[in-house]
This record gives sequence, C-alpha cells and structure tokens, in this order.
Amino acid sequence: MAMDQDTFVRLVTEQKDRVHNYALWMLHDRDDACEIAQESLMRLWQHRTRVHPAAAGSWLLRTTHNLCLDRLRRRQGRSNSPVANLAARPAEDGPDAGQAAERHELREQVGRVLQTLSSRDRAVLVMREFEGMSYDEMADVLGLRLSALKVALHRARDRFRERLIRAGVTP
Amino acid sequence: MTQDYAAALVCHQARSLMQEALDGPLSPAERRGLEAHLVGCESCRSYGRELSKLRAALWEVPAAPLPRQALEQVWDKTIRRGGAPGWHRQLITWKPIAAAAVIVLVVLWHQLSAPVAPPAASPAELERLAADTRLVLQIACEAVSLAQRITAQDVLQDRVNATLKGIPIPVPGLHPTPNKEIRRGLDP
Repeated sequence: MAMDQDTFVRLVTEQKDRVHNYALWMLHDRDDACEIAQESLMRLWQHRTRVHPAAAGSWLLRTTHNLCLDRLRRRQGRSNSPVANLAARPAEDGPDAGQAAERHELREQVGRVLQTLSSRDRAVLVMREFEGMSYDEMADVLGLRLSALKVALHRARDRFRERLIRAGVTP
Repeated sequence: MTQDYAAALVCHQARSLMQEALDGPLSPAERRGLEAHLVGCESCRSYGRELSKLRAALWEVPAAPLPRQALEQVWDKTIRRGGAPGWHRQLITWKPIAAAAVIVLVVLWHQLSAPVAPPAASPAELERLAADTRLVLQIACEAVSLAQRITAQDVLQDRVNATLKGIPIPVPGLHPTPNKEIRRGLDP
C-alpha cells in the first residue's frame, strides 16, 4: 500500500519526537540530532512508495540509527573532542521551574554517561529504556537475533549501571 | 522441579532473569527460582535494587521533542514542495528527458552541419530552408514523444540505451526511408 500525503503527515507527527529523541541520545548534540531527525523524515517521504505505513515506525528508527552511526564514524575521523552542544535548557520561570531544571540536569548527566558507552550499547539502551521498544522491534532495527539482542541488552545495562553509579547519577 | 531450578540458579543466571523481569513477566518456574535464589543472596538482592532504581531514574528523564522550526523545514522539503519525487522517480523523470535531449541534439547537429545556402538565396531556396527547419523541429518533437516509450522498468534495469536503439527516429539523410507520416504532415 503506497503512502499518501495524509498518511505521511500522520506518521511524521507521531514519530518526529521519537526519532529526534533517539538521535539526541545517540549523538548528544542538539544540532546533529535535529539534522538527522529531519533527514530521516525526509527520506520517508522520498521512499514513501516502498515503505508500508505499518512498518514506517521501525523503518524510521532504523534509518535514524544508521544515520547516527554514520555521523559518529565521521566524528571519530574528525576529532576526539567531547561534544557539548546539548539540548536547550528549559525556561527558568514558572512554578515547576526547579523540577524542570532538575530533570534537565538528570538528562544531561545520563546523556554524558551514555556517551562513554559504545554505540551498540547506547543504541540498545536507548531503544529499550527510553523508547520502550519491544525485543522484536529492536532486533529488527539492529539486525540481531533475539538471543543476541538479549545478551547485548543485559551487558549494556550492566555497564550503564556501573558507570551511572561511578558518576553518582543513580538516585 | 522448582526446587531443582532454584538450586541450579547461579548469580549470573539470577541477574539475567532480573533483567528479563524488567522487560516482561517471567514464567512461574523462573519467578519461583529467582525468588528462591534471592532469599539467600544479598549481592543479587542489591543488584536488583540498583536495577530498579536505574529504571526509575531513566523514566524521569524528559523527552526532547523535535523543535517546531525543524518540523516546518521538513514540511517545506516534502509535502509543500508539491510531491518531491523519490530517487527512483527522479531517475524515471530525467533519464528519458536526457535521452530525448541527446536525440534532438544529434538531429540538429546533422541538419546544421549540412551545407547551408548562401545568404543571397532565392525565394524558392528560402522556402526550402524554412520547410527543412519546420521538419527538424517536428522531428525533435517526435523524438521527445518517442523517448517517452522508455518505461520506468527500462530505467531501473539500465536498459535505456537498448530501448533507444529500438526506437526508429525518422531523420532525413540518416534513414533510407524517411517517415512518411511526418512528410505527409509537412507537404502542402
């Protein structure tokens, strides 16, 4: 079934934040994440005759994942300097300003710890812990067998847990 | 059976089950085995507490929505562009046009390279030149029309050249029998 314009608009509206969030966790850079998310969504439009709407969510995340890996590889070739262009801080005004700032700080801390992991560890953690993806969907996006995915996820969680504790992030 | 399972459970198996429990329910046997192991293993109980706290902390992390301006740019480059074609559509669109353009250039080159009458031509010669020019233009239009026979399948399977060779282009001087239909259209 070809994807018409209305379906495309609906899918983008549903998936845009997920795609952006994933790219931001993977790249830890606001501009890069924005660019990658846009690129993924535009590629969906370009490939709309081949992507079934029911599979568009996984297709988008797989595209985003691959674009993120490309970007990380290019970064490695370019420089080893840590990336610090993070998401904008929330507004400081309002009754929930303190809580919002705390949550923003938590996000930054978690993001920094994530950056110390391999891209594979980061991908499985973000997909599972932040995007709430099922094992099947993750295995599809990452091209892994289910058993291999479970092992990868367990090991990534252990490494992440250890590093969060070391960084003093765990509440 | 459960007792056997619990007895066989070592720490790394118990921790693996605790991780799986984060993502979905365990089977009754696995759950009983894990509970039996935890009763006697403080290290794994501590691991389980950390795991739960980690999950709770991660759920607190706010999502980062795509900025509105970035979304507007996506609309600009997709639906607002009026149906930007995919790469395969682009191929289908520009390859036949490029092929037609090549045909037109060949025809024009052939006509222009032919000896041209001197400027001081007679009215009859001028009339003949005008007729030839009309003919060239008509042939060019015909070439464009014929190039449209190239199907998307030809483009995708890289068969454009083969298909072009199979299309007869009526060019006076290049073909022994000019296309009579075109001639008929030109003749008064």
